[in-house]
Amino acid sequence: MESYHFNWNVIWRDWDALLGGLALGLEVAVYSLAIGMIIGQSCAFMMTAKSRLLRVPSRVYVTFLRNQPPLLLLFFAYFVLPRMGIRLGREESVILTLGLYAGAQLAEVFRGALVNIPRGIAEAGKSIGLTTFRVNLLVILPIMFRNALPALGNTFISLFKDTSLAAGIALAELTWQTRRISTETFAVMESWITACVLYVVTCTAISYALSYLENKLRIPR
Amino acid sequence: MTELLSSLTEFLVAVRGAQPLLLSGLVKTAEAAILAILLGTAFGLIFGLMLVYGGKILRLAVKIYVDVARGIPGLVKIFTVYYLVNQLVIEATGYRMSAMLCGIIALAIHASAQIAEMTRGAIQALPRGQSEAGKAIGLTFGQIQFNVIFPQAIRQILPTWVTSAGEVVKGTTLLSLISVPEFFVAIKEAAAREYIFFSFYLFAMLVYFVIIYGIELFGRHLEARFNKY
Repeated sequence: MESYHFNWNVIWRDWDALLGGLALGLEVAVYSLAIGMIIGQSCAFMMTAKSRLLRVPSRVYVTFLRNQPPLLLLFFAYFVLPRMGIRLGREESVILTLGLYAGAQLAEVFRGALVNIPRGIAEAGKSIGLTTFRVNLLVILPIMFRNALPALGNTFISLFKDTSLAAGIALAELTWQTRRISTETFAVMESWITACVLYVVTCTAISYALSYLENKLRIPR
Repeated sequence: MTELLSSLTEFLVAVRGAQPLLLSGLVKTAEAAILAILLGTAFGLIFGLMLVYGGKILRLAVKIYVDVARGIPGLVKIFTVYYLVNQLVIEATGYRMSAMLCGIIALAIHASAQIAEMTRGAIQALPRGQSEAGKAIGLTFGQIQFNVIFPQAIRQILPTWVTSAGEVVKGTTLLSLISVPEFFVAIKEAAAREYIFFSFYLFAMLVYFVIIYGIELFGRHLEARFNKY
């Protein structure tokens, strides 16, 4: 058996493709987070509403989607929806899938953050003459958002990691690029070490940025 | 309505035809998930204890392992074990690990990192007074751990541990990308063979939902039982 020869040149040659893949993953994660936050926020309000008509469907959506393997959802969006006349590109499929999936996770996060706000705060808002809508928008939402921020950050990191699933439908993000390089050049060590390092560095950087943000936005006491 | 009924019967006939394929896929999924959970739990507990009681260097080494394992996406871990670790194993021993084994190892690494963190958190969350009280009545270090600390820590860990078992089941679908013939692969094959896509995917979603939600409910049941006191 001939021993392995390291050849880092294949990595430098495709360095731009790898970084481009990383950037694509981050971009997809940001868009999915945006969709997820909108869905999660709406579901959280619905889940805490008085009417059953709002609570039951949002509960069903959240429970069903939270307990699905995201890869199955992605393949459904990319391979099955077109057969029903809904054609999505690779990137759109990933963003839609991860957005819907994150929406279900975030609904629970936001719901928890909403429930934790003392009733008196909303009542205080009403007593100074704000409408229900304005109480929600100006009083409840900012507090809820701050409560939810740590969990929101974790969701973003796991969304970014989940963008690697896009390799399954051949979207040219970091994991797909790495797999391409590793099978084209047989430089398995170099390519996968590089990918792992890039992912770990990016996740660590995001998590430091988030804890800085959390400190800045913490409710002053 | 009749159209819906006829497509439903058509689907049920197709499921019947694909039954052996689907069942063997389900068995593979269960096998991978159970082995990964067992391995991950064993190593996770050991690593968690190292994080609490280990010396400086051991703690640092385990901390790096946990952080790195958590920073790498599950799929990348699977590919890394399948391509990179396999290469190392081949060079060292000449033996090639099967895709299934690679997948189980990768899923177990993922779970072990989560469980190590959980274990550390649960033990460190216990008030110091607990082990001090043990010392005060003359228990040895081992007695304190096994009779005072662990029984309390395990109650803390169990509900989250069950959640991470659900995550492992979700993770087994990733094994389809290194062509382990698990349930999702069986579904894809059956769907392509019978040329019924929507129903088979919906069926897969229901099956995964029942398994993963079942695990979640089981976790909640345990939580309720342990919080009774």
